[in-house]
Amino acid sequence: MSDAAMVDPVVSLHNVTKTYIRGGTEVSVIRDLSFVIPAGTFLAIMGPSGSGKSTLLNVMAGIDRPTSGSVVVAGTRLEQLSEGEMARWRARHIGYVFQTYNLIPVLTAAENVELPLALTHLTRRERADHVKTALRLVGLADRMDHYPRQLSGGQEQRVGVARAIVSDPTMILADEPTGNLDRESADDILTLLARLNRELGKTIVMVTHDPRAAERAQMIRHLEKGLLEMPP
Amino acid sequence: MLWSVYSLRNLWARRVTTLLTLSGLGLVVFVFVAILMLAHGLERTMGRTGDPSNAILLSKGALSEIESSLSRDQTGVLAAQLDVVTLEDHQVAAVREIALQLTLRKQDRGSLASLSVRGSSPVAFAVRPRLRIVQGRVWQPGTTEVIVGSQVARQFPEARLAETLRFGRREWTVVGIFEAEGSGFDSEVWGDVDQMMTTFHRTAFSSMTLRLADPDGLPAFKARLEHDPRFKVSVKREPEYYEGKAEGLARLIRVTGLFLTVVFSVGAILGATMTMSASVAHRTTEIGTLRTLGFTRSHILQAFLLESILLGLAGGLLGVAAAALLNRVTISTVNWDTGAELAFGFHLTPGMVGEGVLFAVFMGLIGGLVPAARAARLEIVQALGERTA
Repeated sequence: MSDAAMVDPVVSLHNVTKTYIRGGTEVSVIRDLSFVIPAGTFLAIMGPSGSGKSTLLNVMAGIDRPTSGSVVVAGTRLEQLSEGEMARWRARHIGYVFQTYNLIPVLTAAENVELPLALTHLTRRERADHVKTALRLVGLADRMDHYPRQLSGGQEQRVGVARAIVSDPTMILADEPTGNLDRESADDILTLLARLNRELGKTIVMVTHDPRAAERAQMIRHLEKGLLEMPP
Repeated sequence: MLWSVYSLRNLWARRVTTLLTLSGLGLVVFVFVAILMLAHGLERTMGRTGDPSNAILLSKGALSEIESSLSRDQTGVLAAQLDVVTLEDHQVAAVREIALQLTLRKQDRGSLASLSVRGSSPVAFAVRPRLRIVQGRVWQPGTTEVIVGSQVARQFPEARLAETLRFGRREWTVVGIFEAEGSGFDSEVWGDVDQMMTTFHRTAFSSMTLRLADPDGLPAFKARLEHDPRFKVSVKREPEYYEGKAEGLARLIRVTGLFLTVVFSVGAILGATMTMSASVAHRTTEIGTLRTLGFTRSHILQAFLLESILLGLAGGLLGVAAAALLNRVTISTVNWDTGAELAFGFHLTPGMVGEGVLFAVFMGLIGGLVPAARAARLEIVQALGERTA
């Protein structure tokens, strides 16, 4: 085991393989992947389209299951969880940031951020407090009652980040979080993620194909044809 | 809370489709409730006809007054029964009547209408105290004066006060209009029983109605008379007799109406299914997102079912509200059990409001079942757009 793994790993993958059947042929997206992510890391996974980086993120998020291998995230062996247990596990441990923000159009910024809290036992007042804190943290305290269509792309993504952190998850997973943003908005989001990592100690795994985005992370790993390129 | 807001806003976001679906559901509920209202209005009208303290006597085997025949001698003995109330003027509270069905050409439109005519005597007002003269006066015995029920006065221009009705080759002057609390009597014309019997060559009465001193004693009274070999009569409580006369028509209204409702509801349910399916298709990414956030398949199922139930609920309220506008609207039709023209109204009860809304919620639920299940079955990765790269 490497030194990094000794420092309380949040994620550890062992011999993870993911294959799909497409048109009768088996396609390997991830091949025999093993690595660990220590707590408090801001990791960027890079790779071209089709390299399997989103699949890898989905496997860590527990929204996709590997064909074989073992995935332990936040101390839980994911392959042992039933679907319902996995959903509850996700709610507690994973904050997910989507490339296309994926806000619910009929809900306001505050309501979108409140969504994950609907799965907790917090009181209404506690939920409102959490939502306010999260939106303040992303600099949108004055946009609480705006609907997604009334926000810019950058603002929408910041609401997306607020939604990912509002329930104080163990880890934030971001799938091309700046992929749809202009340079300036992208920088804002990356700064925000870096701050969350630095100031709140959040473990962040970000998938990107943008080298400038990846540079903001503490650690970069390249995924090529389903194989992770080991650090030099 | 957030879930209901989410469902409501989604319905509002697609308000044109929502409104169209609502109209479909509302229409079915409207028809459903209107039919219930109509059948209930009919039963209510007939059930109000007569007084629970009265017994009506018909000849044995006769189902209605039209078929019944009671001789003058027989009615004399029957009226002398001790169970019958004696009025202040020492008269017995018993009225011997003949009932006739006439076809009359309406003067205004020239159309044929059926008219119920009753030969009676003024004691009828003592036997049925809920009846009251609202205009004019009661007929003078031995004359061709008549009084008409309020519905007859409304439907026949020639049946207004001081006008003349022509039937049985004689002219009958309308001297009064009476009201019978929306009962079947409101659709009748009453006059002197002896004049009517002469005019229509009758020697026997159709029925005799008696006011009982002890209304609870009716079963015993009935048993005694029906088993007495001197009389060949059947005894019924007056309202039960009249209610029974509308059974056939009420059943026909219900059966036809429910058949229509079932056929329509299939359309409305399909409409709800299509609306909800479109909603699911449109919100696939949203479903994937919610599942990623930790919502379970069961949450998704609930959210979409809630939405279709709300759709049904709103449609139900719309339909019931529309049906409520019919409340107290009166229609006139032929009661096939008696052949007489009968006026009765739509009548809404709280029970029908509940049934209508429940029916709509049920349609919404059934309509939403398949799309909601499909939404719940979606795999997260597929729902999010299958970005496996």
